[in-house]
Parts: sequence; C-alpha cells; structure tokens
Amino acid sequence: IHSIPQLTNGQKLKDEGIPGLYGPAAFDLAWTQPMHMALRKLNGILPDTDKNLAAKDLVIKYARDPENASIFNYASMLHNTHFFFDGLNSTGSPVTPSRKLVDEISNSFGSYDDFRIDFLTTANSMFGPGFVWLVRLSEPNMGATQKVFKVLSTYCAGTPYAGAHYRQQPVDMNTQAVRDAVERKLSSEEFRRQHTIQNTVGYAGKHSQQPGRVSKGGVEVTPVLCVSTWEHAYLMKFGVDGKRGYLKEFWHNINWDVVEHRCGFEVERQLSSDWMQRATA
Amino acid sequence: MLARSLLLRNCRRAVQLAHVRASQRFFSVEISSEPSLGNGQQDGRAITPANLANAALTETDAQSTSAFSSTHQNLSQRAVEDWNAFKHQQEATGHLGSVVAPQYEPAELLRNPPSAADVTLELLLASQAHLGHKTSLWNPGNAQYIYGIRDGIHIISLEVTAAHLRRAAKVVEGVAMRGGLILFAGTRKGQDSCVVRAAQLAGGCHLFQRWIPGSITNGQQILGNCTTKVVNEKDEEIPGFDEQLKKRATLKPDLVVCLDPMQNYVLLHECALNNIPTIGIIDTNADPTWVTYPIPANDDSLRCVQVIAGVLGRAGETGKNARLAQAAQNVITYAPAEGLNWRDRVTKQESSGARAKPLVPDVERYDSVDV
Repeated sequence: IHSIPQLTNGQKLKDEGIPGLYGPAAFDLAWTQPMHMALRKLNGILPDTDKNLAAKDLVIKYARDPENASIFNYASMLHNTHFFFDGLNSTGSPVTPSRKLVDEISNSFGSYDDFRIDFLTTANSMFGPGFVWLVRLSEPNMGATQKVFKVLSTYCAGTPYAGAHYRQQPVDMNTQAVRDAVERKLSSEEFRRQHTIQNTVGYAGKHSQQPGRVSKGGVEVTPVLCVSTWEHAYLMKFGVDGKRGYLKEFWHNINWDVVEHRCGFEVERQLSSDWMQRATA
Repeated sequence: MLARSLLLRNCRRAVQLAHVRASQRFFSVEISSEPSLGNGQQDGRAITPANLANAALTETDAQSTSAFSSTHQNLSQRAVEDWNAFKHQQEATGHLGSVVAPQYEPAELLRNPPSAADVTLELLLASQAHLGHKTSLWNPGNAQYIYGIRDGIHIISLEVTAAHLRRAAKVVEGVAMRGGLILFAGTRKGQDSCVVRAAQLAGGCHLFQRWIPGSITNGQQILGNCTTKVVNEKDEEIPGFDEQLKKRATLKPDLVVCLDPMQNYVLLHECALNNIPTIGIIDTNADPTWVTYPIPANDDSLRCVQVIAGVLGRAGETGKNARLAQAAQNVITYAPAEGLNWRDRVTKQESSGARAKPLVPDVERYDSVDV
C-alpha cells in the first residue's frame, strides 16, 4: 500500500510554503491534493502482485501495457510530482549552483543563461499539462562518449526514463496527424515518418555512431531537474495566465545541491581518477 | 506545425515562440568559438593521443579527463561506468513517488531468513506462531507455554516462544561453532525448501522425506553404504582415508532440529536413546518431553515453520563462520575425530599402482582369443 512521501522541511512547506512561489493554500493545491488523489487511485487499482513495487518501478513495468494505463499514469504523476518538489529549495536561503555544474551546463547549451532561457521557454510554450526535464546522457562525440545535458519535455504523465520510453509522450498529440492516418488513410510510411526520428545520423538513428547501444526509441537519460507545467502547480498563486511568472519564480527557488547530487559527478570523477591512476602508473 | 515541433525538440537550435507578440526575442543559442575538448560541435581537430595528453596536462577540470579516458575506454570500462551511474541514479531517484509499506513475500523467508536478533513478537504474530489447537486436544504438559484461550483454541504466549527460539538458536550456534553435525528434519508438505535452506546455511544435513526407522540405532545396516569423508579444520576434504573410514561406525548427528515432532516420534526416540540433543516445534497438542529444547509454536503454519527454520539456519551459519574464522587463525574449536591415523593414509601415487586395472580391456587380448 502506498502512502504520501515526506518532503524535506515538509511542515514548513505546509505552514508557509515557499516565499514567492507557493503560499500555504497554493502548496496544498499543488502537492497535497494531487498526491493524495493519485495515491488513493493507485492503491485502488493496484493488483496484489505489485503491492511492493515503488512508483518508478510501476512506471517502467506498465509503460508498455495500454490496458493498465491508469496504473502508469498515477504512478508517473506521483513520481514526477515528488521529483519536482524534491528539487525545490525549501530551506529559506537561496542555493546557488556550483562552478562545476555551471561549466557542465554551459558546455551543453553554450552558456548558462541560454540554458535558462531554453528551459523556461520550452515550459512556457507547452500547451497543456506536462513536465519539462533537464536530463543528463551519454552522447557519442568523435567516436567517444561524453556526458551532456539536454532539455526534454513530456506531456501529461509522460516519463523520461529509457525503460518506459513507449510512454515518454514527448509531443503534443494534437499536432500529430493521427486522424488523417485513420480517416484519410495516410500511408503507413507517412504515418511512421511523423512518429519516428528522421535523423539517421543522430543519437538513435540507423547511422548513429553507437547503433547497438540504444533500444528502439529509448535513450538512457538521467533526469536531474524538472518543472511541472500542470495548471494546479501554479493556479492558486499565479492564476490561469500566470505561467510565465510562475516559471520565473521557480527559477529562483531551485535547490541546485539536489540537482548536482542527481547528476552523479562524484561517481564520474571517481571512475576517471581511477582510470588516470592506472594509466599513469 | 511539424517544423515547429521539431525545433522545440532540439535544444541546440533556435526556439521561436508561438506567440503573435512581435516583442518576443528570437532566441539563439550561441556556441563558444574557442575550441575545447568538451565542446566538440565545431572542432575539426582530430583527437589524437598527443592532443589529449597535452590537454590532460594543461586542463585540470574533470571534463577533459573524462573525455581523455572515454576515447581509450574499452567495453568493460564503459560497462563499469554505466553500472555505477545506474546505481547512483537509482539511489538518488528510485524511491521518489510514494512510501511503500513492506509486505510479506514468502520467498523472502528462504532468500534472506531472519536471524535470532530479528525475532520480534510482531514477526511471530504475523507468522501465526501463537495459534494453538482446540482446547480439548491439548497436552497439559505445555500449560506453562499457553497464554490463554480464544475462539476455542489455545493461544501460545509469544514471549515464551521468542525466548525458547532464541535459546534454541544459541544451542545451534554453539554446536556449529564446535564442528558438530546438525540434522534439520521436516517431513510435512511444503517444509522441504526451508529445511534444505537451513541445512545449507548451517553446513549440516537435511531430511524432508520419511525418516527410516533405525537410521541411528541400526545405522550400520541402513546407512552403512553411505560415503563419508574426512575434512580438515577449514572444511576441505582430505583424501586417502577410504580404507580407514570403512572400519568406522556410521555417523550420528550431534544435534537434531525437528520441525514436525508429531510425525517424527521415532526419530526423536532414537536420538534420546543415543543421547543426541533435539530441538523441536511443540504445538499445544504435542508432548514437550519428546525434545530437549522445545520451541512452543504453531507447527501447522508453514510461514511460522519457515521463520523458525530460518532463524536456526542463520544461527548455524553464524557458528560455522565463527569456527572457520578461528580455523583461519589456526585455532581449532573442537576435538578431532578419534581413531584416524594420518600415517596410514593412502595417497594417489600408491593407490594408482595398486588399482591399475584398466576399465577398458586391451585390444590385444581380444585379438588373441579364439572365436
């Protein structure tokens, strides 16, 4: 049976929220109510065999099961919402990103500010509910692999994890010509072209530098930061038209320590230093 | 429509908003023009070991060193990296979403049995250890183990159960520590897996089918053909004692753990005749005098039996490991078997000469035979 997780400084969040981003009523609408609803629904429909699985495991297990889409949806909402709130700074004093993190982000996006604009603009221009993620992944580059950051958006209850790539939901389905395919009988090639990656030299294409590494459509990413663009996340304090203001406030309240921990720099550094020791010894 | 969604997906390219407001900036992501190893977008310079060696010496940040190591990685290195990254990701984000209340998994009792320290009244209650039989079927000998009556059955006091179980675990641990042979016996349906697991942990023997009467009292007849071996203090076999072992008496266990005394009265009686201590699960209708160390508990619940077998198996494992640890320090915690002569060992070279009979007849011999 699943129950609501505890956030760090949970009582403070409930009483005061995050100054600027959430008041107590806004926090209730953004966290307490949706989480309790999702838990109630999930506990109601989970079969006995899965009672011990965590939300993330449920997401990956049911990503390819359209008959149990409800389980996927609620588990994914639980995981994504907790991920989002875990990345917020509830300590009261601002948390700045470390030099290392800023450098890594700048390497991937050109500059740190360009990343901010990229990330927030993607979130702002999404029509409909979803999440926008900053993910870290290995990318082939000149025959080697290096870790880069990318921005990824998922609609509704989509998830960024590779194991559940069937339900990544990276595009707004209103922009896809599904009805054409059915009614006007779009040729299967046309339909496929609209839904598959066209760039064969890109990461997942036929002629990519690492053809065997990626399963069909899945890209192994490590999400490190996310922002919720569901309306209930900003409705109470910013109103229906307040998404832009909400995103600005979100930017000022990110807990960069948590983000850096999720990146796993210490793991990479450990391995590369081990390797360097062995190479130079 | 399609073009715009492609642009939105690609983070490196220009992103144009869908707003009609002309004041919106046209965002462009500029790429720094200075060449660096981390930013390989426009760098046409080939990555040679010389370049990388220079770079590694001049640039000290981890970005360049990881690029350096990447080009020279082999597959196993990458696998290690991926595995560590995966483990880190699981640790950082795997638990996010909800708090899952732990639920009973039957396989867990076999995969990872609890130890004596993990025995709590809650565990025993959840394993239905307190449920005795109908009050009219009780054996008055175990009145002191009974807490009370409810719904027409006797309820076994769990504090008493826990105390007796811990005592039995201590006995098993002590016997295993001193190199004793422990027999785990459980012949009821479903007890085979936990019996085997407990014996495996403790390094003892298991029995999950019918006990053949006389296996101890008439051992030379019933178990006479069983192979025995001589092991040293590190539990390694010492070859060459076959001839000497033929003359020895059949082995008897030093401790017997019986999970169903009601079905194995004969086994327990034979043990008593041979001064072998026994441990047994005593239900409210069982006779506590049949065993040396009774554990008052429900012998009809498979979950309860698995918990008890698991605890005793773990105790045996602890004792065995302690004995082996001492053996590694050349300390022997038991008296060696009597009657075995080291000098009378038959080593391989001598034995091969004595038994030099070929298994396949020579070809010449057949040729010489008149058909």
